[in-house]
Amino acid sequence: MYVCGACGREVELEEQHVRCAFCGYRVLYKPRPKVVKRVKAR
Amino acid sequence: MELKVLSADDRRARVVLSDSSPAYANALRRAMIAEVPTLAIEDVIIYENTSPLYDEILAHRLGLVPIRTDLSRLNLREECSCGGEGCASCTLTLSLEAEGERMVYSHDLRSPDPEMTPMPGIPIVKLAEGQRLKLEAEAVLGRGREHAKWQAAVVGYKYYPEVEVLESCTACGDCVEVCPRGIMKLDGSRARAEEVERCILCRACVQECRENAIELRASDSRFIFTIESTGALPPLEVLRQACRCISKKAERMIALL
Repeated sequence: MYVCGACGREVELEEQHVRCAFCGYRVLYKPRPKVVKRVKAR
Repeated sequence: MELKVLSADDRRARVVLSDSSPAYANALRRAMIAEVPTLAIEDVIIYENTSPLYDEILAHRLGLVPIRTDLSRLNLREECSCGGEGCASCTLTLSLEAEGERMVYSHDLRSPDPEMTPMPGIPIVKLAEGQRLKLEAEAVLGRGREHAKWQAAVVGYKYYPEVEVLESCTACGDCVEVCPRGIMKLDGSRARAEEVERCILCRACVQECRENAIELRASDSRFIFTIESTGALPPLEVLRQACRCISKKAERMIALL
């Protein structure tokens, strides 16, 4: 799952090209997955 | 050996150690800095972080927050009955949940124990509108020698100043004029030092005196300690724990003989 850089909607990556299915914008952002992360405080 | 407390509150203390030696004074200083256990955040479990800071930077900032510590109720992890796995008697779990737009402070960390809370008022991260932060932080006891986040206090000592005004003093008042701490006073026909603990041994009075009537020495058997606590423990408790630590080490030494 990606987020469109122009319209901000969630888009799935198409097989042929990197492109927003709604507005055609070609910059997509990968949002941070909802994974619990454990880090050392050092 | 003798100890006299000049001043003490919950953050700072000044203590005079008399009839001692530089070696002992330094041992005490090092023990207070490196050997007194305190609480600090060691592990951070991040559920959500859309703040501008990376998880690691955030965790590092949280690690440096001093936490008020009750040593009678917690064990060091390596000495705990759980065998270092982490349990309620060696770990304090704090939680934090915040949504922007606002500044997240150290006191937003919620502690299950009202006696063991983070020092308030330390900014952690600024959240913009819609940014969220949700995490859990596990605080454990540790020592300053392992990481500075466990350092209980900043401690320094200085040699006790001894100001002697000789017979040849003419009470010209030059030393009174030049002393940056204002401790030289005129007393009849001679100058006299008041509150010598405040002297910084700068020797300005010695240099200024035309009669060479002032002798300034630094005692090597008396020391003025300045203990500034991070807030985890009261400064005199830091001193107490350091002494305990030194005596424990000595006990271990005897057992080896």
